[in-house]
Amino acid sequence: MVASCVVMNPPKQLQRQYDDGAWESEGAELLSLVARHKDEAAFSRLYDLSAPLLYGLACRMLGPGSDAEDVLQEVMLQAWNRAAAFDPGKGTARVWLVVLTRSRCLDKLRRRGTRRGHEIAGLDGVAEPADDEASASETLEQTEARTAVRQALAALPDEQRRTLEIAYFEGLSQSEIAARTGEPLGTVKTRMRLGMLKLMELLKSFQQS
Amino acid sequence: MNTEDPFDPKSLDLEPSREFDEAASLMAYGAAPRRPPAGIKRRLMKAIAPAPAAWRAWAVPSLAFAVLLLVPYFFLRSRPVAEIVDASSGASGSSIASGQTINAPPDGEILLRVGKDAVLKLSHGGEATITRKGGALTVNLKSGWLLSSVRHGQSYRVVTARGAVDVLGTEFFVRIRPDKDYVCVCAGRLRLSGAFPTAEIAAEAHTDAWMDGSTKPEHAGWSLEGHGDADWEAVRRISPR
Repeated sequence: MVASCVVMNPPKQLQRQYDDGAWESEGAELLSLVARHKDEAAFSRLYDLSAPLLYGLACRMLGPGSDAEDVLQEVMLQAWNRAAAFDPGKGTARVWLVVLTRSRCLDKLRRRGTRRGHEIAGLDGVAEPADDEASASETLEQTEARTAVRQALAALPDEQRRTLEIAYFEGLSQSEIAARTGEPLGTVKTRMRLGMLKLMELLKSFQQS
Repeated sequence: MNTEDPFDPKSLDLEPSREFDEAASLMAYGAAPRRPPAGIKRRLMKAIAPAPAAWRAWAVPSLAFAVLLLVPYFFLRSRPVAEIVDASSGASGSSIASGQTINAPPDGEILLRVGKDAVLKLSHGGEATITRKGGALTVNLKSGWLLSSVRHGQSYRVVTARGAVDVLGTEFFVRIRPDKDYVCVCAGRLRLSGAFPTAEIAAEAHTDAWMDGSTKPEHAGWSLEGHGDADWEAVRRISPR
């Protein structure tokens, strides 16, 4: 078992993103408008802000195509219909939408009965967005945040990052990851745990700074 | 297939927390953002929008349909229910609206044609209203007496404070007295109802009954109150029978 103890400094861009409030505070406001007034303009703005991230996540988990499109549509409809369920006290709008998207993707993966390995290319392999138009539609804060987070993730020890990616994007259980990578189950669990602790530490340092 | 989420904090011996969720969601940035097909937003905006177009599409035909129904209704409702054919007060030719009170002068009579199927003669000082609901005619006799001839099949009812007289195609006479009402079937059949056992009277010639409003109507002994040949002559002259 390799336990890395890399001390990560918060990337300046990500720190600025938190300082600026980024789209997440706007996202919470937009969800509130949708919940209280069924504000179509707010919903449209929320879609513009979040769709590239959510659709990118869905494509990464399910592969580009109708399933990913269905997931995006279902998540946004859920945001419209159940915006009142969003509790800003429990997390940001981004977290809420990302969790919804990932949950639906995992459901689809389970219904497929097999988890396709959608090219876990790793962060090094997808250093640039696959869709230039999507990048163009991002806000400056989103682009900075994405770049910063990718840099932060890239700073994780390779085996921790890869384990987290398989678990996050493919939804494989720890034992399934162990079977795929040939690593002991305990190692897989430890890598995931350490990786998450570092991400949490990184996040905490952003919020405190 | 194992459905356990490996990103469940408990599976990593970590406490569920907002920080964990925040950190986990950062993983999503590991995926390259993609611009969704434009059709998705279009479909979404269409799905969430109220359906004014559909509403309007139905509203106009519905309104038109309602107007088509209401115009005849109000036309029929405003149509006179009766016409004064002869009146000692000189009101001949006047139309009587449904629900309008008709008062015969104390020293005279009013002869009315009620629609196409009934004729009614209201006595000296008699007061009545005639209403039409659907095809049914109801004469509310408040005082005095009336003599009426009704074509068989026409729904026609005379209501007094003591009961109701349903006409089953007949010529008949009703008089309100202080203590009880007098009903005479001149020809045909009547059904008397109210707070007493329902009774029917069928007769070829004058057969009368007292209706006190509480007990079963009793035969009045052919007293032939208040109506005679001259009265019938006036009614029959314009009777539809």
